[in-house]
This record gives sequence, C-alpha cells and structure tokens, in this order.
Amino acid sequence: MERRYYLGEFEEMVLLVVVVQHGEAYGLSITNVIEDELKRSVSMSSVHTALYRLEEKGYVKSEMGGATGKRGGRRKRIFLITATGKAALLEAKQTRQYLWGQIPGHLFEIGGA
Amino acid sequence: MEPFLPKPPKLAERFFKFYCNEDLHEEIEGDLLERFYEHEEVYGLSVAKRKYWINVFKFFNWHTLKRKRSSPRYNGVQNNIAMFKNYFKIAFRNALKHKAYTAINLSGLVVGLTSFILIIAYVQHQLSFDNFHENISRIYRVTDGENAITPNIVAPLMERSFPDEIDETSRTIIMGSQIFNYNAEPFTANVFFADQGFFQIFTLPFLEGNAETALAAKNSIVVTRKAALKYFGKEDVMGESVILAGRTCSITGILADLPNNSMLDFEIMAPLHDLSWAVSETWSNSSYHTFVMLKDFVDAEQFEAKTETTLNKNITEAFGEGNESRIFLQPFKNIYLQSDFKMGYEIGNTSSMEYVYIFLAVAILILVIAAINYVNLATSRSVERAKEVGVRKVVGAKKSQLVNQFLSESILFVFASLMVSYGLALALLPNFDQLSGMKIDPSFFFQTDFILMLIGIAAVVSLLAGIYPALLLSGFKPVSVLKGKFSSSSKGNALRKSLVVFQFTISIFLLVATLVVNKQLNFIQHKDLGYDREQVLFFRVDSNISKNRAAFEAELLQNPQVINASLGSNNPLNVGSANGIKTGEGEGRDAYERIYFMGVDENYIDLMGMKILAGKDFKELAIAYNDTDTTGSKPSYIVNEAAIALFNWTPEEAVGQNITISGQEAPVQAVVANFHFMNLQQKIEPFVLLYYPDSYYYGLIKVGPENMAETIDFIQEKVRAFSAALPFDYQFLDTRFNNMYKFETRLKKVFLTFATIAIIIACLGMFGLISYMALNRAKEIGIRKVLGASVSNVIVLLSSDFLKIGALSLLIALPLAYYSMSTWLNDYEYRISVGIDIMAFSAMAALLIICLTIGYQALKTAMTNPSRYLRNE
Repeated sequence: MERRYYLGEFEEMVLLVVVVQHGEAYGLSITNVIEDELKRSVSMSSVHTALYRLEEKGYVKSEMGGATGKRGGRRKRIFLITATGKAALLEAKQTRQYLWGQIPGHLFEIGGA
Repeated sequence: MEPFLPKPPKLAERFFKFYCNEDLHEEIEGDLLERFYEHEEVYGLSVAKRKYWINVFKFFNWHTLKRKRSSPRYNGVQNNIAMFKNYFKIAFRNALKHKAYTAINLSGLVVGLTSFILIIAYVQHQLSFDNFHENISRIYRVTDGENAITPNIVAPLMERSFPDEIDETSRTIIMGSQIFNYNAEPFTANVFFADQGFFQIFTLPFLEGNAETALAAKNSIVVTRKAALKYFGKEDVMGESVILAGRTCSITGILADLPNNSMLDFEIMAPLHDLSWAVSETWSNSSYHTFVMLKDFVDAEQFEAKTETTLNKNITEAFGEGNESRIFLQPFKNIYLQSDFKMGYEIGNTSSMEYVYIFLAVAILILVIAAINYVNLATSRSVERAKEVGVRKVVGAKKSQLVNQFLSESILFVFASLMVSYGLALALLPNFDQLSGMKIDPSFFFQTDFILMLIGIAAVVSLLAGIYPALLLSGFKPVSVLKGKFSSSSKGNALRKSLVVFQFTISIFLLVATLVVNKQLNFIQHKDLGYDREQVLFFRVDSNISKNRAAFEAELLQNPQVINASLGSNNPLNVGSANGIKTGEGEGRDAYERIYFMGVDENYIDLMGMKILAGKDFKELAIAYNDTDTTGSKPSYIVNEAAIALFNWTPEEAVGQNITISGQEAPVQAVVANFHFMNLQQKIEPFVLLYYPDSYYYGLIKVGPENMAETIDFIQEKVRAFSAALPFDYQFLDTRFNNMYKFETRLKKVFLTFATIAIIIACLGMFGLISYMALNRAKEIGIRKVLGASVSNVIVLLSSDFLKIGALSLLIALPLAYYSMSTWLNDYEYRISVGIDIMAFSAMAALLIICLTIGYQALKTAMTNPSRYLRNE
C-alpha cells in the first residue's frame, strides 16, 4: 500500500484529540486529555510543536479564539482538522485495520491483551 | 475575575517574551498561565512556579524562537530582498555623494586588506613547506640534538637493527659547489650526494628516468630541469656525460623543478657510493643528514628511545663508556620552521616560526587598524545620517531594520575593498616576494579555500567594523533628531578616542621596532669584525693552483691593483669545522672544549687585516700541519683571544705554552685578536689558524679600488692559466657578509613597510575623527569666535584633544616597544641598546604626524566665518 500521508504516532494522537474536541481544541486542552484520560506523560511544548507541524503539513488549520480570565486575558488558538487531515487519519486507521486483519487468529485472544 | 490571582515568576515571563516569536507569544503565554493556575490549585504556589519555569524552558525550541518565518502562519509580510536592495542603493548613493569620505574610508580598507591578503598568503606559503612529500608524516631526520648532521654509520646501522620499523633510509651529504666539465666547458653547481633511498623517501617527480634506479649505477647523476637548462642549455639531457672530479658521469634522470615550498634545494644529485671516502661506515665521519622513513604504524617517540639505546650500545662497544650521545628523530616537516641548529649545516632553506608569528601579528594589527578606521569614519558622519534615520523610523522602520541597513553599508564597503585588494595583492605579489624573500605561487590566490577564507574574513571585518556604527545610528530618537537637537554621547566620544589611541599605539610600536631593527642592522654592518671585509674577493681553487701556490700568488701580484693574494681552507665567513682543544685532565668529554680551525697560508693574516697581539705571524715562521706526521715536527698554532681565555693567559703569557688540539700537542706560536667568524648572534668561540697547505680550497684576493673590471679579468686569466678546468666564480666578502644578515635586512624592510602602512591608515582615521569633532563643535566654535576667540585659540582647542591622544599612545607604546625590542636584541651577543634617541625620535615623529594630520582641518574650521555655523537655528 502506498503511503500518501505522513503521520507520526504522537501526531496522530494529537490530531485525534483535535477531532474529538471539535472546535474547542487548543494546546493546553489537548495536553490535558493526553495526560488525564490517556495517562500518558507529555509536555505542553511538545503538543504545541506537534500542532505547528500538523499545521505546516496542512492537516489542521487554526484561528484565534476567545479569551478567558483563567488565561490572564490571552486568547486561545483553536485548532480544527482539515480535509487533508481527515484523509490522513483515515489512512492511518485503514492501515492499522488492514494489519490487524492480517494477524493470525491464535496470536491474540481478544480481551486478553 | 477573582480578586487575587497568584502571579507566575516575572523573570520567567520576561525570558519567555524575550525569545518567543511574536506570532506565537499570546497563545502560548495563555496556555502557560492557565497551566500555572491549575498547578497552583493542585500543588501550591511554589511548585507551580517551578513548573512554570520548566515549561518556559521546554518551549524554548526551533518553532517558537524569534526568527524570520518562524511562524507557521508566516506569509511574507516583509519583502526583505527589496529592502536590502534599497539599503545597498542608498549606501551607494551616499558613497558617491561624499566622495572624499568614501575615498578615505575605502583607501584605508584597501590598504589594510591588501596587506592582510599578502601576509596571509605568505604565512600559508610558509606553513605549506614540504607538504608535497607524500610520506611527509613518516619522514624523520636523525640528529644528536645539537647538530643536524650525524656520522655515516647511523643510517646503515639503523636499517640493519630495525628492519621491521624502517621503510627506507638515506644518508645525504651536501657537497656545495662542485666543479663539472661539460664539452670542455667548466661550471660549478650545487650538488647533493645521497643513498638510493632518497627518491623513495621524498616525493620529487622525475621527468625522465625513474626514482628506483636513477642513483643505482656508478657514476650516474640526476639533474633538475632548471639545472639542465642552466648548465646544458637544453632540457633533454638524458644520457649526456659530464666530468665530475675526474670521473665521467652520465645523466640518468631529470627531475621536475623543485616546488617553491621545498626546503631541500639542490641542482644535481649524485649517488653517495661514488664518493669512495664516504661509504665506509664510521662514527668519526659525521657530515651526513640521516633521513629515515618509518613504517606506517611506528610510534616515533618510542622508536626514538629504542634507536638511542641501540646506537649507544654500538658507540660504547667501539669507544667505551662515557661517549654516549643523545639521539633525536626530528620530523622532516618541522625542519623548515623549527630547525634551530646554528652551525649552518642545514640541508636547505630554513625560516623560523618566529618570523611567521611576527608577520601574522602585523597582518592582524593592520586589519584591526583598518577596521577601527571604518568605525571612526562611519560614526563621524552620524550627524548627517541622523535625519535619514529619523525619517525612516517615523515611516515605520524597526531598529533591527536600521541595523541591517548600516551593516549592509559596511558589507558593501568591505567587500568592494576586498575585490580591489584582491586584484591589488595579486598585482603586488612580485614586489611582496622581494620583500619577504619568498616565491609565492600566484595559483595560491585561486584556491577555493583561500578565497572562502578571505570572504569569511571580510564578513567578520564588516560585522566588527559595522556593528558599532549601526547600533549607534539606529539608536537615534526620531523626535529629537528631527527637531534638530542632536548631540552625541560622551561615551561614544570616549570610545572613538580610545580606538584612535589604540591605532596610534600600534603605529608607534611598529615605528620604534623599525628604528631598532635598523639601528641594530647598521651596528652589525659597521661593526669592526676583527678583519677587513672590503675589497676582498674569494673563489674556489683546485689542486692545480694549491700545489703551485707561490707561483700563482706571485703572478697575481704583478698587477698593481692586486694588493695581496692568499689561499686558505675557508673564508672567514664560512668556517664550519671544529676540533677539540684539551683544557682538562683525562680523556672524557669534559676535558675538551670546541675549537674552530682554518688552514691558511702566510699571507692570509695580512690580507684579512687580522691583528697579531703577540708572537710570530706565519710570514716569519710556518710549520706545515700536514708535515707533522712525516717529520715529527710540531705544527704552528696561531690561536685567538677566546682560545687563550680558556686558560686565563694574557697574549704574552700564551706564546710558547703547549696546547693540545685534536691530539696534537704544540706550542702557541702567536695570538690573534678576536674576529667574528660566525653570525653576530653568537659569541666568538676559540679558534686556531693552521699553516696547512693541503687544505687550500679558496683563493682570496685583496684588490685595489681602481679598474676593478680589468683587475677581475686579469685574475680570471691567471686562474685559467693555472687550471683550465676551473670556473672562476668569485664573490666579494662584504656581499657575502650582507647575505648573512638577510633576515635582519628583510625584517627591517617588513617593519618599515608595515609601519608606514599602519601610520597612514591611523592618520586617515584621525583625519576622520577631527572632521567629526569639528562638525560637532561647529556651533560652539562659532559662538567662541563671536565672543572674540582668535584663530589660534580655536586651533589649540581642537588640537589639544589629539595631542592628548598622541601623548597617551606614546605612554602606552614606548614601554611596550622598549620591552619587546630589548627581548629581540637579547638574541644578539653583540647588540645595541634601544636607547633614548630612538624613543625621542619616535615621539617627535608621532606628534609631528598628528599635527600635520589635524592641522588642515583645525585651520579650516578655525578660519570659517562663524555666521556660517550660526545662521541656521
């Protein structure tokens, strides 16, 4: 299968969170999801870096959102997935599904992992 | 909003603001703050603060840093290329508008850069010496630490003892000028004799013949292409025969010309096995440069120790304990710059690292002076540029853009100068070669490395020279400069002044150095050497002449212009042979002192004008040294004062005392006054003159001042009459003497040239500075004049600052120069002192130059009608 999209594992996760938090995703919120819900230690700056890289690749777009008092009056940058981003995510998913399908059945007992 | 909010650490916030890209600043700072509040709730304030710091540091990365295009949302708001085009355009227009300023500034830079380029080329050339030998890192010369030459047993012994470590060895002996005969035409050429390994060790390409076999056959010689053209008149001389020392030799190889950066320097190479006396392996015949090429893996240091042990074992076997010698392996690549054997037995050209350092230091100083000039001249025009800066700022230029603008101006100036300098340096290369005494290959200038290095240097100079003016000019406040209120800070003035002090310090230093070198050189050239070197010519003689010495000299003396004629083993300037004089008991090394010797005939002392202090000259009593073996008589010794000083005798006491030289005991016949037979850097050593008819290799003739050409023709005719095969290559003793001090002569020229250049550039700088001051103080001077100040008052006012600068530079430069030049003079056993006269002269010269430089501008300012300065307000 020819790969048309390049998405690192971490980038994929960040991109998924952007989709999950549709319209509300910004640097810190994504960090919080990864830390609290996925129990994975991550630094805020790496999430930002991943977001900027995704933006450079054209997988997300961004706009400045509203400010809250909790931020000392600073505005947030809200990230939204683009069509390309969706295609990249889909491709990543299909790749995984294809590979999962290829695994000989006896190696994994579903629910045992 | 909550009434009280904890605050993140201020310093961290400021640091973040400092590095973070403006586009990203708000969003990230917001996230950081939000996180900080969260942490504060969960962990408390101090932990939150720490984490804030950590986060600020973590955000410090390529994406967030302030730089062009750092933001992913960058879409080319600024057209930088267009702006830079504009900067260069404005710089160019400004340069054209102020032609005098541009000329001064450019000429300073051009002179500085040209000097720099030439000197760097020289330094590179020096450092590249002998690098063309492919195996350079494996080639060593065996020495005993004091002498470059070693006994001829060393090479074969090493080769036999260490077949696993040594690739190749070669003994090489310099025979100097040898007499050849080609088609019945005699010529003398500079010859080396070497073992066959020579051409395996050194990479000297053959045009004809080959390295393996060229020296294999008996009576073969190899010539360089240059020598072939010089002596045979053609390039293709393979197979031709020449006669050398009675043997007919055939040419078995032609070498390409030795590269300019080769320390080895010979015209003809002959196989060592042709010299019957040279091949027998002994410890006593030490005239050989022993070259070894080690195998790849051999560690030279360990091998050195091993060699010393092995050789000393052999020495003790032959001569018993107490005769051990130190052995060193001197890397061949170090010989050129680091050879410090003063005996003059060096195998080729040498220079010294010291010389390279001096040149390099001078190059850098001159470049610094030129850069300072740019700074001074550029800032001196700040008044004019202030309005431009104001307007640019008002229409929205950022400070960084203005810095870019003024930096591009300095880049323009420096690179324009670089291009001119590059061409100029190339054109001046022959003159510079003369000055440095080197032959630098012009192709050197076209090497990519060299060009890249120059571009790099130019970039550094433009930055160093441009940054201060750029910061100064871009820092003007638009409101005040546009209002016309313009004042320069006193801090800036102090800086400019200290820069000029620095320039003048360097210039004065170089001036003093020049004068000291000059004085020492004069001292050397006019020093009483203990013999007369004027009007004495010398030439090689052969056995046809030395056997018929009396007849030969008598024939010559028929010409009234021949004042005296003599034969000897050496002329007083090339004595190299030494023996031991016994000064103590026993047979150990300590019982002997070195004593130099020379074989002469009875006219020699007279001819050279040496003074006999006590005893009889050879004219009155002469017992030939070579007869002592057969007749058992004792030879005549005439020794110098240094020799009798070994025994604490006065000349009168010394005569008749027995001394033992080289195992031969004999009474001192006479004492001759000390004479300098070595470089003046060295002390006069003990010396013995022998009456030694078997050792006459030189003819010396003192000629009268009239009809010199005819006299020389006459001498040549006589030489031919006695020995048809002998070429008459004569040289005057004083020319030879001056050649010995080429280094000093060159040093003098180098200092003179670069001191002049340094002073010129510094004066340009000072001229720029006074123009600036005059402009700055124009109104003040106008008011002073209105209130009644005279022209001379104003001149004093303007020049006093500069005289202070001059005085301060003198205060710094003179002690510095005194100290370093005294250190230099310490190398000379016979020397001048730096002296108050040089100091005073330098001080006067410096002040005079300063007065002349500022005089014009000061006078012009003082004479101007004050209304010109005061009317626009």
